[in-house]
Amino acid sequence: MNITKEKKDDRLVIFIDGKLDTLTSPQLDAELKSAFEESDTVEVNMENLAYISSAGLRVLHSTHKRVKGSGKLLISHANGTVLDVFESTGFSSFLNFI
Amino acid sequence: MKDKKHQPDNKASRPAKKLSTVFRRKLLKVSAVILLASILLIVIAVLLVVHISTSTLLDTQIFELTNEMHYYSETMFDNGNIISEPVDKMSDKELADILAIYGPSNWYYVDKNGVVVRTDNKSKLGVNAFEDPDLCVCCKELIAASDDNSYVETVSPEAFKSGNWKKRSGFSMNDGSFFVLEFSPEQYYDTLNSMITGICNYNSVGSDGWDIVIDQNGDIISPSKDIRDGWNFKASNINVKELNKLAKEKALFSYTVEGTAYYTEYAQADGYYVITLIPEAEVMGNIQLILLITAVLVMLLLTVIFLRINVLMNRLVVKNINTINSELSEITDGNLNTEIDVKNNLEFKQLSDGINTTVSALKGYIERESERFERELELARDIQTSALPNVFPPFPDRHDIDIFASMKPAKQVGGDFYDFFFTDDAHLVFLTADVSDKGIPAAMFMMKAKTIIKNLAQSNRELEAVISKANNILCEDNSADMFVTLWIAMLNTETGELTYVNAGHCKPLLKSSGGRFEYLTDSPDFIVAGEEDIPYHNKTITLNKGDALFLYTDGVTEAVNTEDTFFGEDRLKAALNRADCSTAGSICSGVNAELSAFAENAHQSDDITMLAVIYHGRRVFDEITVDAKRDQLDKVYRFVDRQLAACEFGQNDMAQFGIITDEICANIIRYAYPDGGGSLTAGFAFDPASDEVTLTFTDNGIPFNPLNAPEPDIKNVEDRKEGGMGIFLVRKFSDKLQYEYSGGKNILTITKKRLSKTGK
Repeated sequence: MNITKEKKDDRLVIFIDGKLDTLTSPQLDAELKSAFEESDTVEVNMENLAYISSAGLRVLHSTHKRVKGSGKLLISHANGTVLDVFESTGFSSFLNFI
Repeated sequence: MKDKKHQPDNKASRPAKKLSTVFRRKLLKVSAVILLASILLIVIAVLLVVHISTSTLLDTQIFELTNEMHYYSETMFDNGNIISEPVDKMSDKELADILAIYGPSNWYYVDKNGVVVRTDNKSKLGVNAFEDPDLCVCCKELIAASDDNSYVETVSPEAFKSGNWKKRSGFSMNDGSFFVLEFSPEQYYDTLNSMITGICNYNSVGSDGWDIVIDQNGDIISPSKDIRDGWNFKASNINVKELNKLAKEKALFSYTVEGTAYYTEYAQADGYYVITLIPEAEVMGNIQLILLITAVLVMLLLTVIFLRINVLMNRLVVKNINTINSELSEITDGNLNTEIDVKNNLEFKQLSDGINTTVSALKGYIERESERFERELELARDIQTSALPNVFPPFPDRHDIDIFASMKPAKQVGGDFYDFFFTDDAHLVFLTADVSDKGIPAAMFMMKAKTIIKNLAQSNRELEAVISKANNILCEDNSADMFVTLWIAMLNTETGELTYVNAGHCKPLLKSSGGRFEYLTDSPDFIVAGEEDIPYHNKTITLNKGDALFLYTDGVTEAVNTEDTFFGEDRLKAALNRADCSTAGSICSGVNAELSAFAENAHQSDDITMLAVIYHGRRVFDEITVDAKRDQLDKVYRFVDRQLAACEFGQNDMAQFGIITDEICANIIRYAYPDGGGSLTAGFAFDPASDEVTLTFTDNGIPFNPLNAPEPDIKNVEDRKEGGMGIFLVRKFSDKLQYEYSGGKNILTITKKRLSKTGK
């Protein structure tokens, strides 16, 4: 998995390229933590994400809970299997999709 | 029946002559007979006319001559009383001298009492003259004639003929007495000959005819000798006896004098014969010319009639019959639409109409029969076609095999067939076959062969044994001497091993390892149902993923175009290599399209049968074992990705399998080996038949059934504790999940069907 970051207007955009699984989700966790130190609003662009497993979901879930009230986690360009996973697990009901 | 049939044949074996020839010959014969008969009749008629006219001519001549003769005879002897003085006063000598002016004769003086009182014939002196047979006629005539009269007695024909005759004349005296003079023939001739010599001198009939007067001896009296010399008439005597023998008096007859034939008549004329002759040549000269002209005219007339009748016959009968015959032979050749149109006379119109009615009735009957036959044939074709598997794809659940077959029957019911069926999950049998001959019998034989082969193949793995048995069964009661060629194969779909037997059939084409279609060139075994106990031989090749096989019957290679050229093996191979080989159906339709383009509108004489099989590969299985540690998991993930890619799975499938693998592996590390250590084995199996992947995860850690994990509450995820979604996702993305603890191992089996292929 490759992660790149980009500052855009009022937010920080994290581009994830590859798979978000047991092996790669700690890396995303770390990136998100540092990102929220830089910006209140972080957007995760999932356009090039192949899939997300429960490990990835856990990272997003914990991050969401952690920044709730102080910051904003945005998910963008979720598609295919990734979107399917969000919808079937109920994550689409509380995550902020743009 | 046979004899009856043969007899007319024998009659007919004589070459039949043309009607016109027969008619012409008959007509010629009849004409000839008519010609001869008419010429004969004309000849007879002409001869009759000639006879009558000649006879009339000669009769007249004879009549005149006879009259003339009588005239001279009367003149000579009818001079009345020449005795002027009284008879009593004259001596016999004086009387004789006076009477001598009539020439020498016997004389009788008969007194008024009828007694011969004076005579120079003493034998008659004193005889009653009225009773004397010689003198009585003359005496009676003289008495009747009264006085001073004379009488000349005509020589009686009977007496003349007998030669015993005398000429008599007499004259009466005033006193009723009379004289009778009696001349012997010599005396008579002596007196009269000189008188009549000239009668015929200038009197003749026709231009070259003669009149002749002869005496009783046949000596010619008239014409005179000098005249006859002038005529160059040498004879001086006519044979009277011959004359009498040749013909009666006054009858026409043919008489030859000095080499010349004459029409002749003769008659007695008072002690003479008068003869009149006219040369036959003179009479017939013109007649022959007339006859010739008449004959020619008759012949001409008959020729004209003959030609005219011939032409009429040809025009009215022969031509019509020929027309009818040629139209009939057209009908015989099968063109029942030919209408006979010879209607130039009533009889032929009736004949034409009769034939047309018969033909049209026959046509209707044939059409009805052929319609019925067509319907039955169509039914037979339907039965035959429906007996072949014809729903495609035939095995929609199987992805290791793509099979397509088609049979395009020729117009008649044929003997081609194909078949394919699984004998169990892993063995596919397929074949194409061709029964010799065509029609209903071949179709029935085909059904029998198909059933037997299928039944035998269902229960026997050895193809060569299947075909051997089928051969023996089909040989029994094969009364029609039919046989079948076939190419049959059994494919083990798990291994790709293909066993086949070729019983005299066309060699199929194999497209192997992504290459081109090539013929399987090994030599075939003997045909099936030809002879019992024939050995057949299995041949084996191995098919790889993507290999395709094309089977066909000779209807494909022997399809002809409008120029009678075969489609042939080379064109077939080229067509296959051009065809779209993505599916079995596209292979067949590619070949079919080229075949149709080649044949254009040429008549399809044989069934066209083809069968294509694509093998999508054998079952795939592989596995990897790693230490159950996080840093080893990547190896497992890459192994699964690699296998999926090799089986051409698409992105969606890759993602879902990725999730499944990640969740299971994480679980194992977390729960099976909470204290670390141990191994993890991931197995990957792909079955092209079902298009399913089976993932097997095995570990020898703590027994743990992940399927017992509680369902997450996905409604209030946000406030819940993180995690617990792993098994939920595995369940969501797999079709079947199975846990087993066996031999100290946790074995989790996940089965999942393909969603999409690469690029789709």
